[in-house]
Amino acid sequence: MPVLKLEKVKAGMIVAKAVVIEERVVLAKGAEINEKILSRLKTWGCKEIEIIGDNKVKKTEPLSSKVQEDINNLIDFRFKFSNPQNKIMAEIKRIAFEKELNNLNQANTEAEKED
Amino acid sequence: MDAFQRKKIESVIQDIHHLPTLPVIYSRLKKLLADPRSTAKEIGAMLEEDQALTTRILKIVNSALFSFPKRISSVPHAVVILGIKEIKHITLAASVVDLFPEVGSTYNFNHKAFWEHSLAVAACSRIIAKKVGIMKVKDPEEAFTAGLIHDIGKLISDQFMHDTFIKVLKTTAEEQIPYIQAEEKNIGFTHQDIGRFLAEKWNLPLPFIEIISYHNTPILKNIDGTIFVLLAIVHLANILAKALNIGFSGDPFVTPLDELCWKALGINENQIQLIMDETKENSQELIELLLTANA
Repeated sequence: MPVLKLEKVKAGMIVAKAVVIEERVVLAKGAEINEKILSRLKTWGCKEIEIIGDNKVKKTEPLSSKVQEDINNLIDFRFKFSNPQNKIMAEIKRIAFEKELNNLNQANTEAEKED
Repeated sequence: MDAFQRKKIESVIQDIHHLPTLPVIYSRLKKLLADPRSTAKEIGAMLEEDQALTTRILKIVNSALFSFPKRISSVPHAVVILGIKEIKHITLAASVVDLFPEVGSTYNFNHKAFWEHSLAVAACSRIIAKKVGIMKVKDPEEAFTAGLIHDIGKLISDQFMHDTFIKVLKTTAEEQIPYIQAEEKNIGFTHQDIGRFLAEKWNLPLPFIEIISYHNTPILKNIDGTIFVLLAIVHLANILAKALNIGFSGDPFVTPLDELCWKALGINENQIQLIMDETKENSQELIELLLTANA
């Protein structure tokens, strides 16, 4: 797994090994880098990170419409009793859907690496 | 809780005299904190008598969730950095995780998944508390602990009314109704009432009692003030942890959002994404730190 200087690390990359600063885990293995994490790591003086795969931002194959539909059904079930007209709940549901898609993409990427 | 309801709960909970008790060190800590002459050094030294508790407190305060710029190396140091009241909340949080032995396989429920959900609610509660701001929430650690113990009534159900607990889990899964509705249907009261019963026995502070009692149904507790803001925080955190599907507390359904709670928080819709991102990230770390085999 490549070790990248922090300035080369981009949002979307996945951490291959927990980041430890002064004996403290500040970022768990498997976490996805985002802008907020990057800025926090800079503040804490982190210099480099080991990331999964090559040093490219992960690009995921589009999921089939069947898979998307399955995720939709899963989320609909989870939100069965939430008030659908409420715009806050609609936003929470949208994010939950995206997170499930990301989880699946991440699992697929990891499976491809193992093959 | 009125006398009738208390009686009803007592009649259902078997072996009520063996309800778990908080560690002696927690009551000693409360006494020490009540004495204005107590120093951070004394409080830290007393807590360090319990090595397992010390390790857990340090793991919590050194996690990314707390974001302290330097590693906290000892409990006296934590007392100085966090403050006396805050360390009391963290001690309670660190104490409860071990109090409930797994009874055995319970349909689709297990303690690890339960604590994963509770840790996610705890982390999310602290994140929301920070966003809500110090004017409304003076102590984000109180929100963290409240989030961790909000569902404690379910563990009492599992341990002391095991068969009924399984029946409620089955009703929830088979009839696809919210867990709280399945409880009402099977026993006529809920884990919120059972949790309150325990919280009162433990003499927990009022905000914890209210949050345990009303986190699913805050509409029943339309009160003003800081307790309601804390209640609103845990109510939303519970919704977000369920939306993210972190752990499992027996209820597969996301609780409807109470409008009054949302208004009480004063945060905006655009902050939800960040709160959910941070919750996912911080819960994973807390789960690894506190629930893995050698934690």
